[in-house]
Amino acid sequence: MTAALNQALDSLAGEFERVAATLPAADQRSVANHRTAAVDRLRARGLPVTRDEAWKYTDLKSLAGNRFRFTGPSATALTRQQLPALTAHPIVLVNGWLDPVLTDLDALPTGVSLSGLDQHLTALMQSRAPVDDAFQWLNDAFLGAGLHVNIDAGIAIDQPLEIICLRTATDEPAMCHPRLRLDIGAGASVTVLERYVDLAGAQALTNVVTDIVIGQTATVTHCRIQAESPASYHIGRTYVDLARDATYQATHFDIGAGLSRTDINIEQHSEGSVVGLDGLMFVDGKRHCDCHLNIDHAAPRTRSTVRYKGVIDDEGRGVFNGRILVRQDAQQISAQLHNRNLLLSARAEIDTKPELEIYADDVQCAHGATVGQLDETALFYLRSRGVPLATARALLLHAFVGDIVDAIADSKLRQLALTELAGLLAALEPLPELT
Amino acid sequence: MLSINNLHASVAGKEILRGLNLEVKPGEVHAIMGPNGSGKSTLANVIAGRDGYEVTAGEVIFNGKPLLELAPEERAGEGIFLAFQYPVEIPGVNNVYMLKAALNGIRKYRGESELDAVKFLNLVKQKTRLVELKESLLNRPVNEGFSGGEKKRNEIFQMAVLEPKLAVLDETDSGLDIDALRIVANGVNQLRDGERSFVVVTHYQRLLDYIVPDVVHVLAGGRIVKSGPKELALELEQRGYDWVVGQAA
Repeated sequence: MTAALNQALDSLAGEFERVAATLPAADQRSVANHRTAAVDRLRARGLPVTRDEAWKYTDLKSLAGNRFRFTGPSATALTRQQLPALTAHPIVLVNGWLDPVLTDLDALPTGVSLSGLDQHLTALMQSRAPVDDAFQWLNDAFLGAGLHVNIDAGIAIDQPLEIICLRTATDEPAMCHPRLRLDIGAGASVTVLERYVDLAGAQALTNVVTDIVIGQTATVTHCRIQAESPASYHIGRTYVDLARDATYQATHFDIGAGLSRTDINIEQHSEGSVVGLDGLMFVDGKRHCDCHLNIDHAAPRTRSTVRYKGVIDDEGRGVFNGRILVRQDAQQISAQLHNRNLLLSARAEIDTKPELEIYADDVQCAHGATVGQLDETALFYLRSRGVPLATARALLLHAFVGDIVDAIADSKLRQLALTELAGLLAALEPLPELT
Repeated sequence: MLSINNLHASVAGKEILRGLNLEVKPGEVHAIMGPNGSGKSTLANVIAGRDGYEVTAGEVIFNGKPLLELAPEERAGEGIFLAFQYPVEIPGVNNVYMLKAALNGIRKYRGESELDAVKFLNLVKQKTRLVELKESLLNRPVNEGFSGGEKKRNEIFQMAVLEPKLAVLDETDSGLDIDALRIVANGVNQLRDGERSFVVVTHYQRLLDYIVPDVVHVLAGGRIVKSGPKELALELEQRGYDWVVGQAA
């Protein structure tokens, strides 16, 4: 590990030593041991370096210049009315901690229960096989912030369940390590909106782990919007576990943070589960965005379809790695993975690598990646009609990302996505259809 | 209205136009004919301002303004319209949406207020009748999946909405069957109002049976080598281009 990363690691581990005794349930030996073991693993293995294949294009050395402070739960002066919320009763995390004032616990739909992580620590510590992931360990070390949502079996919820992870201004660079755990009961159906909203705009590190466990025949529609400020680091892990005939339909927007790294790990371990994953990264300025996707087809008759797009402008750099593993017993599966990218400037860069690893013989798989620029002929055509250059570019960009946005079934969610993308797409007022 | 003087233009280092002169007055229809590779499409693209066409000498003056200094959208604002030989398919961009952005872009350029959605849609509906364009095509992505005839009709439809002062039709007849040709020509003729001018680039005399020109020019070797009344087109149809080109050499 380089000197810079050593320094960054020392700072992170040192912060753990400083606050360990104040973390929830610090006096429970099993919890304390779990945290210490995670830090020890992290110290032993170090932060990832660009020699690690999974981090080849994402260099973390700029972390070294920061000393991120971990903050416990604290009251905020914000009121519900001031929240940039889409729905009437959002679930609000402030700097990683479930906020009991901003979140209206009485307004939860029937069949939904919500709590802070405190009561679930023991269960969470055993919930998943250990992974070789420095940021997962870092999250384990600070385990305590976040929330647990349970949706009862057979419940169908019409309104999106909105989870806002809000960051407020702090005196020093801050970090948070929340864990979001969603248990979706068999046969239930729900739309979950997971938003990262940054009111601070200051140096910060968000290192979040989202666990979604979907019961038999249940359906989860998941929209994740990461729109943090360019001063921040965003590390996100999304784990999705699908039981038999379960469905995970998701749209991931990675459009913020100065450095963002998201890993989406999907386990299709039971027959008949269906995954539809759309994604869009937008990287401008000198920002860096890295998305690693892993789909594990471990059971027969599972399906996955991935459409991930990248728009890279200025000196931005995008990284996409999409890996699909089809295990030996996973017969009659179908897996499609497509990554399309648009480079808007000569200094923009994208590194894309779709990977298929197939050990079964009766499968339908396809993958592909493209990198292109805005179509010059189309631009000229539009301009020759009188469309100003900026509008012409916006129209073509809109067309590029259009199928990702249009595929969002919920109209409020779709509108929110468009609003978040407004800077990218310029203001395009909608036009009524001709009748 | 349009005054082209000693225009020289190159594509990829190769000189295509070599001292072209053309004078178009308000309300006139000029046909530009000529053999393959004579520079007809280059002329159309240079007027519209397409990248990749380098003007090495000469000038193009449009209503007193030097056109070559303007961006394509500014030329549209001044009143230039190019009907493409190969209209571009733009997946994901709605036809009407594009047209609204175009019309309001032009209006803004001229210091006029933008049209609201209702007025715009009324205008659009009215103009679709001109070229018998199916309304179902309006809300489709620009030209995507359109037949050859539908694409050309869409060009004329856009022209009708944008109401240019000078329209350049680049081989609008190519790929059209006789019925589509008649519809397209009919649309053009309805837009002739004594003020609006047209430069019609074509290989064949057939289109000129429907859009009757005031002047016919023969473009060869990057220059206009012969100009004459509409009867010249008939003569060219019967005798080919060799005799004109030979005369000029």
